[in-house]
Amino acid sequence: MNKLFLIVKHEFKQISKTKMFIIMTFLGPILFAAFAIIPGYIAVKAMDTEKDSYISIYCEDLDLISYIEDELKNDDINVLVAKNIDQGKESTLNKKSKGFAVIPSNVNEPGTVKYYSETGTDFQYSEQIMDAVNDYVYKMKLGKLGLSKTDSQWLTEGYELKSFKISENGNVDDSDYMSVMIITMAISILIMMIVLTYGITASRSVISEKTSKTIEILLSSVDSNTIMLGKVFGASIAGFIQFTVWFLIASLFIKLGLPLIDADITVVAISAPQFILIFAMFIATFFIYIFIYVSFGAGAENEQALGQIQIPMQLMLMLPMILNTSLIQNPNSPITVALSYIPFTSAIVMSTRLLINSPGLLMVLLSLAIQLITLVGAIIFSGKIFSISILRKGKTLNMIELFKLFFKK
Amino acid sequence: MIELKNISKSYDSIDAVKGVSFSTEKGQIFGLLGPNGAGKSTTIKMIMGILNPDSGEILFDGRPLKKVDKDKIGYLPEERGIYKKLTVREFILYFGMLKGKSRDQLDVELERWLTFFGLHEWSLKKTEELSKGMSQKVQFITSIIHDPDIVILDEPFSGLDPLSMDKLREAILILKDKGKTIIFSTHVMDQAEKICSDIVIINKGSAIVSGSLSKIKSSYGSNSVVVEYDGDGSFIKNINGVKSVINYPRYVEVELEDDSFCNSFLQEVVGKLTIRKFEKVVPSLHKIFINSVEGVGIDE
Repeated sequence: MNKLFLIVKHEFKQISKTKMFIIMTFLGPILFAAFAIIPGYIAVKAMDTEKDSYISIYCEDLDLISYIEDELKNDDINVLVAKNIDQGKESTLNKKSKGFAVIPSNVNEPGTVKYYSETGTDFQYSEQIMDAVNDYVYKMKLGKLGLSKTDSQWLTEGYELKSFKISENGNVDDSDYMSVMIITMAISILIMMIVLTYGITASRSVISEKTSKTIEILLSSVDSNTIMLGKVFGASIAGFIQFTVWFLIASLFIKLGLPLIDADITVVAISAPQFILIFAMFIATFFIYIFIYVSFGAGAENEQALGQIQIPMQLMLMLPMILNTSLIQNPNSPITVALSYIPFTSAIVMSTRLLINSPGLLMVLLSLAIQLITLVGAIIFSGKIFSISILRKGKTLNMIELFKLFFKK
Repeated sequence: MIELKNISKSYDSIDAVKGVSFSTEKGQIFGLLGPNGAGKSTTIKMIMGILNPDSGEILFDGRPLKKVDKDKIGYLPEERGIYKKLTVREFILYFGMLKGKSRDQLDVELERWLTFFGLHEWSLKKTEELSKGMSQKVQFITSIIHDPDIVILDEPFSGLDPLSMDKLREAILILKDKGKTIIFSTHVMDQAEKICSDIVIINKGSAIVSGSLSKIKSSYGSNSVVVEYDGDGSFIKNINGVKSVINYPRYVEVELEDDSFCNSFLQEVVGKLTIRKFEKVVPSLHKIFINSVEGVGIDE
């Protein structure tokens, strides 16, 4: 039986039979949702006002109170009219109302609305009140200028904004900012998680051969390149299986789950060519990182040292995540374009650009070509470092020392 | 079967192996001896193709050693390694299959060796559950499971209890009887003396003694005596005609300058010590080793 196949099989088994792999493969998307989506959902929900909640208002202008009552009723907020300031404050302290607003009654003069609440931070209520008050004041002033209610209504009506994305072939996509944000974020996190997880797994596997001293037995049967490739492919198969399962679960959720929960999300459609390009870039990036990680494993003395030597690569991988919002807003800015050609960041950045404004096919292919050239370099680099340093003992080599070792004759 | 011709290896500015040459024959137990750091393990790693020699040539059956020849060699490294999460069976089979054998071919040998070492009932247990001695036996089985022509054992007895040492020695003799060539590296001379027919002593990277053990011993002469005694024997080294002394807990091995000093030496010690045993012997391998390494010189 082919020795490479045996090592690949061994490595894959070592990874896939762990409880963590099984749990993460099937529960990964749920955990991912729990960590990424639920906090966001909770944050958004926390900005909503509670249904059937109460607000106390003290104002001598009964018309204004009546107007506010009508406006707040749309959002299920009830108004308690306080007879004086003390009563209003008391109702807040007794938790009969969420907060208490003191509103000046002379709408002709500039004034200040004072809002009291137990936290002082529940701006969702104060903003609702202020919207109603300002709306009322604006209309009153227009009335004083001689405009009828209908005219005032007409004057305050404006346009709503709805964004569309057009592509060169004339297609129009009504996906909004939030939808694009979610899909690009999801793809970025998926790529980052898989690359990081299996890069680290492969490098740890190399370290464990060194620390368990099995590397000499392996080297007495196969050459260092076969061991390196076995580790890379063993980890890769595990990674691709996990990627596929996650992708299928995510697709099923979008197809079946979103309609069930009646979510107000427009899912960005990914065309087949887009998917192929994104997947090709993901594969190239995956192997670039995993080969480099394996060389780090060979150069490191133990897992702790390995953790330190990996930091620059992890930062490179996380950079597009950190800049995600800016990348989406400015997909053609010089920084975004540059990052989409740097092979360590290009998979995530070019994928984001592909989903937002479809850069020219040549640009994408150029980015992919740079990745492939880098991959060839990474394989050569990793092969040499692995063969030289896999039997090394003592000090862990940093990145500069690894490069010096690479260029040493 | 294996022939090293003037091989050298250096790390940066350190010469680990300098022009070492020796050859082994089929069915021979060959001792690769030397103090720690002498270059034994580096030499073995070059035979195994783990390291490439800077110069020189390694021949296998008269032709240059190729990568495929690795499958005909079994190797037990000095630093023992084991996959803790694999069972004993999985561990041995994995490395056996990496040597190009099929599972069916390995199964027969596996059963035989596990039974021989009394490890049969441990075959489905994880290797992390094994004692150190059992683990070493498993590693030994791993090195021979593919029925190699040559077995290289780097310090195989290190850390074993006497019973396990005997069992391992027995296993080595079985391999010898089957016509396997065994290259046995150690710095413990007693072990080498008991089982090796031919040796090479390496010191500071160079081979300083090599050849048939019996010939080396006889060439060293018979001017050594072993004395078992009671009393303070510290004066022995000052007796006229004594060239060197090795003190053991219960006896001394004395090298005389010449065979003719034997009687006068006996008279000296009889008057001062209670002698339990006095025996004229050929020098022990330990003695030859010490003399060689310390540069006392050996007449060959």
